[in-house]
Amino acid sequence: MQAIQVGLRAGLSAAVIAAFAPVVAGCSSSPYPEVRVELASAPATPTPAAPEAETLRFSVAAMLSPQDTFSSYSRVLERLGSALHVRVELVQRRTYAEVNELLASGKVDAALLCTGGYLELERKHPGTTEVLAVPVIRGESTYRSYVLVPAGSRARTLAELEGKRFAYTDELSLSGRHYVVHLLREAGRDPGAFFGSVQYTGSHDRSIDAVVRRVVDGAAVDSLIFDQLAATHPELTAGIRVIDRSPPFGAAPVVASTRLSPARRTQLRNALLSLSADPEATAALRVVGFDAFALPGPHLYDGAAAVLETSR
Amino acid sequence: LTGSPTTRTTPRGLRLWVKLALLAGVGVVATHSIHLAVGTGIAGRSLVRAQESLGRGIARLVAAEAADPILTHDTATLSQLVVRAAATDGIGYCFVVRGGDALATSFPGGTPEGLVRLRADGRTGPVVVVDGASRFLDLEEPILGGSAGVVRLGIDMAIMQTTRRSIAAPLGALALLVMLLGAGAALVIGRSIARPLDDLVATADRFDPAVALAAVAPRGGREIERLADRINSMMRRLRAAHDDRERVRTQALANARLATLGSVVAGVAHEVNNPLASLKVCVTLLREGADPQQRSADLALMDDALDRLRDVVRRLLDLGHPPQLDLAPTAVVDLARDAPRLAALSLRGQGISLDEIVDSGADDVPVRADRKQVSQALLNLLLNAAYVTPAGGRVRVRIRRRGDLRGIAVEDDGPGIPPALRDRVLDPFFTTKPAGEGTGLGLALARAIVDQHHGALELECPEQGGTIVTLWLPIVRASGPEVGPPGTHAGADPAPAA
Repeated sequence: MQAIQVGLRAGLSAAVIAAFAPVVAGCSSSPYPEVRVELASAPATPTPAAPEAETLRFSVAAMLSPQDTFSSYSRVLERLGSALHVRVELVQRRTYAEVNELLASGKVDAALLCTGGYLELERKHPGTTEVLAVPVIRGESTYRSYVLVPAGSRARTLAELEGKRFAYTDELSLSGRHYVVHLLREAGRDPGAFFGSVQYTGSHDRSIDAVVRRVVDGAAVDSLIFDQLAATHPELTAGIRVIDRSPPFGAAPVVASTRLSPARRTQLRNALLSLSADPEATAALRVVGFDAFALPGPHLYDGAAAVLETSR
Repeated sequence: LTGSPTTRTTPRGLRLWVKLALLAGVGVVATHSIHLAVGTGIAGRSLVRAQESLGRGIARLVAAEAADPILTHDTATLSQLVVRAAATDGIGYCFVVRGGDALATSFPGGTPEGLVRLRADGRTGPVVVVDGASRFLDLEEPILGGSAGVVRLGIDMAIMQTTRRSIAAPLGALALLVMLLGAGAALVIGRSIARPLDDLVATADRFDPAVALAAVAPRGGREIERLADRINSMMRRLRAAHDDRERVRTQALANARLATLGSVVAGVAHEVNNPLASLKVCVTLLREGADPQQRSADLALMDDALDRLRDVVRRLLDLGHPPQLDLAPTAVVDLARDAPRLAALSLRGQGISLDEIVDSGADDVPVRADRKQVSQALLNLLLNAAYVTPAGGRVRVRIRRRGDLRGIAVEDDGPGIPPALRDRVLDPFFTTKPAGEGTGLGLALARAIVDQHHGALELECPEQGGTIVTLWLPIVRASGPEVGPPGTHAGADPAPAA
């Protein structure tokens, strides 16, 4: 009798274990470490800013996407800071206009502006900035506007894109918008009604990407960025055909706020001009497609200004 | 075998089939438990990892989307992004940290300090954040390789717990079901295995080689069928051996009876033949007309012959129909003194001395005996001893004790009994004496008397010579008049052999 009771007890225990094993296993701890945190506790207070060394706030207009700009220009600005013995902070904004506002309000000290953006800034806030240097690309300080269509598109001219989807880069972009508007105006077409739809991509690389993906039927972009992309990623540009090339325009200038002291501006100009002597800086400039920086010629932006005049 | 009880064997512990059933049941339960525990554990971990993978995908998406707002200082878009991410089903919270500060967060009042500092030690892998009953799987995803900060995403593990429990509940029910089915199957199978074995045990218990028994029906699997076959075969052999032994025994008994009958007939013929011859001669002489003197002498001879015939018949009747015993508790010592007193004269005439020896082991425990009959038997033993003892020899009477028996031993200095004759000396009319000197009924009568007393007559022939004949009688016990037949009592000495 005792043996039967022992057997029954063992069987009952086994049954309980069997029944609750999955429940216990279901409540088992996760394979990751556990930390107790009171989520209702006081929020974290911002870390007090440490007294920093002198900082030069430098902006780059959104000719490239913010991420590409960050990855491309961080190294260049680091070398520039090294030459100036200051920390250079990269400040980005989504549009050319926002960068212009930063310059006009003195919130940045210098910037690499798009030609169109620079001319607009000079128009709206004359004397706010001073051109320090212009990039040199394959011996030239000019660039063009390319009108792109997908390789399979039937369009051979801008006129054949009528009623199609078109991508502008920025409201103020010379190569990304003003040149196309200029062409349409010269052709007697209404830029506001010529295309079926228009969208602003915010940067030239996104416009190229939109054409590759056939999100749009055409786009106007900076020739420097397109050529740089064709050199580094030919597979991306293989699906694109250029149906129009503009005359050369003055390349995007590096400007300094006139709020900076003339001495500081001179230092900055000299540092830019001497970057090509720094091998690391030269390598960083090659990433963005520049060979070096040079002093601008006297009528470098006349052509661009004329285009802008007709496109407004 | 013949004496084994026919009742079914009752085991003291658990029955075999119960043990088998328990063993199988425990095996099923143990296996299933391990399977469930391990399987559910693996499933649970897989669930967590799947959830982590899903969460990491969301975090990666948020990190990709957060890069531009961070770089362009678009905090509104960044906040919108993390709040939208946290609003996704199963996501508890989301925030972006850069340089130790939360740039945007889904926590309405700001990101808790402990949560922001959680990874201050540099760990990047998943961490389970526990806050009371709430558990979150905290994931970290770098933005632009970490140079633009990190996205922190908390996956609400309540969903995982709920899912686990929703899996565990039916699994638990399944475990119970499997266990019950397994136990049931184990009971049925265990019983089916044990039942043929029980049948074999019962058959073995009932087996009596003297009785024809039905063979065990082979069933319960090949091994048990083979066992049943062997047991059937063994029972057949035992029965055949028993029959053979019975045949031999019956034959031996018949032979012994014939031998005894032959001996009796020869003895009777011998005893009757001499008087009959005398009678025949006398009758012949009387016919021839003998003178009165001779006639009177012949008649006297005839009368003597008839007496001898009557004596033979009386002895035969005594042997066949022993007289009714007059039993009474009697001291063994008294019994041992009666007969020597009667035989003393005869022994002295033969120049034999009689020693009455009472052992130190003698006690006052009485035996139940007919004193007259026992004295007659003892006298026969003394006369036999005196006959074989040479002149100048000694005959000894000794009291013996063996368990519940008390014995009176008569020892002589004779030549002993040849081994070939030992089995026959107690037969009626068997005698080694010359013709006319003995009837061969003395020892036979002594044994008949001892048998009536439920005693035994024991013959011993020591190596040094002589013969010891012991008359064993049972003692009177306090609980009853006498003990049972000799040989059934436990004692220090072996039971006497008649």
